[in-house]
Amino acid sequence: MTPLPLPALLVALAGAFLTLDRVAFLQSLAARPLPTATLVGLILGEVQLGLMCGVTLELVWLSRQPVGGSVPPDETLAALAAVVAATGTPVEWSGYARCAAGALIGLPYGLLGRRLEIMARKANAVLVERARAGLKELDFAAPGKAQASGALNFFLVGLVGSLIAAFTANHLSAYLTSLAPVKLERAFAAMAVVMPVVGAGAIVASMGGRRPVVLFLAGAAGALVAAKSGLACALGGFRSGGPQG
Amino acid sequence: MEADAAKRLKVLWRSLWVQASWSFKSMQTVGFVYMLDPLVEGNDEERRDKLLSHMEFFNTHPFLAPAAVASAAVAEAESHSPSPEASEARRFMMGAMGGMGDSFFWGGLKFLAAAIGVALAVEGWSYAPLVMVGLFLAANLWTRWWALNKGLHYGKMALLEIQKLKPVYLSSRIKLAVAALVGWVVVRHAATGATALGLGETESMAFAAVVALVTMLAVRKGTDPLLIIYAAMVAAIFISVA
Repeated sequence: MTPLPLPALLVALAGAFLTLDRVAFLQSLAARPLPTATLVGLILGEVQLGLMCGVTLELVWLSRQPVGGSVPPDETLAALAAVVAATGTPVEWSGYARCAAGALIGLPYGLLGRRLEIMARKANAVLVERARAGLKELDFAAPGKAQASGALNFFLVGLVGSLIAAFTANHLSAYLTSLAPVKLERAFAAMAVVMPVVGAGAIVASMGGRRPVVLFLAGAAGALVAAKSGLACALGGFRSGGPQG
Repeated sequence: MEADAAKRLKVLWRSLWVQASWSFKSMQTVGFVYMLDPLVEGNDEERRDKLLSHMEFFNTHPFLAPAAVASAAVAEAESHSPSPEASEARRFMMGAMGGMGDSFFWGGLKFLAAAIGVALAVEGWSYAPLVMVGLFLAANLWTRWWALNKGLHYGKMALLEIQKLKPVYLSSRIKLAVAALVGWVVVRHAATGATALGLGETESMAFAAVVALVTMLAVRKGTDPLLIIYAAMVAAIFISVA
């Protein structure tokens, strides 16, 4: 499915606003892959696919920390591109396969987003001098104007990245998945399960020490026991209501 | 220091933008001055001199930044000219709160909110992203407001109030809870996706646990998780084609 210009523009605009949440404003986690992918899925009329892509990507990106001056790959743009790419995969594919194909195609967009974000941070370097010069002239609005300019820089790079993703990711996925659709579907479907598992392993590894590993195994064993005892079905959509798409 | 509700709300609102002009060189410097402005008293020249004296490098955890701003404002309120104690308060709070905030929010609470969100999504809750954002946003806003009020009340001694909450210890406990929750989530996710793997439910769950353990070992040896994902993709293509 190719996004029409209007939904694609809405996706790009949503991506730009979500980019603000990453650094410049609020930092509410709205720009994390799960909320971003679900919102993009909602805009494109495939909310379950978006939710599933969010699950696939959230754990993958979680161990990457934006602390201090480090700039990790842009998980917001990666998630946005993943859902757009997933909509470009063959509709007869399972939700798992579409989602994993989208997620894998979306990962390089995260690197593009990182480059763009670094550009915004470099462009902001002049703002401190502008604010200082304004204050010297008793212009007390100068720091506010500098803040607005900085936020605009983040917004614009978010918009550029999101526009690129919104208008290219689906075509890229349509082309790549057309190469060997039948055989690739199985591989992609398996990856939809493997990717969050790898992400989870990376999260626990980042915690250090043995206790997180022991607790991880305890949680895994608990889920296994719950599944075998039927408790899991009682808790929710384990088999029927999960985000299979 | 006395500050009415309107001023406090103004600082709170400005604190949401503390990183708006973030740059590699000055980081949150402009954001700090922008937040400080409503709390600085005096005539225009005094206000200018005080604000200019804070145009120095500043970077801390954004949610705790209001405490640093309030501490500096408390010190500034005691004189008509820029106070060296205010600059000292800013530097003192910046380092300590940066470490505590990063550890608690980025190293703990973010993981917990995301793990809860993913756990609910795997169970089929379409509103899972809202729960995830809502949990974190509530903590985010409450912390900013609380830190601002503690800073205005205690000055730089607000740091002791923050330390009383034991953020670093809490973060380590939260991480352990996240490890268990993530273990639960991946196994549930693998069970749901057993057909995608072409395995039975039990085999799929065991497979997920083994893959996670192998990943842990590889990541601790320095392997990038994204490299593992692409390697797994190549293996999956090879197996499906063969």
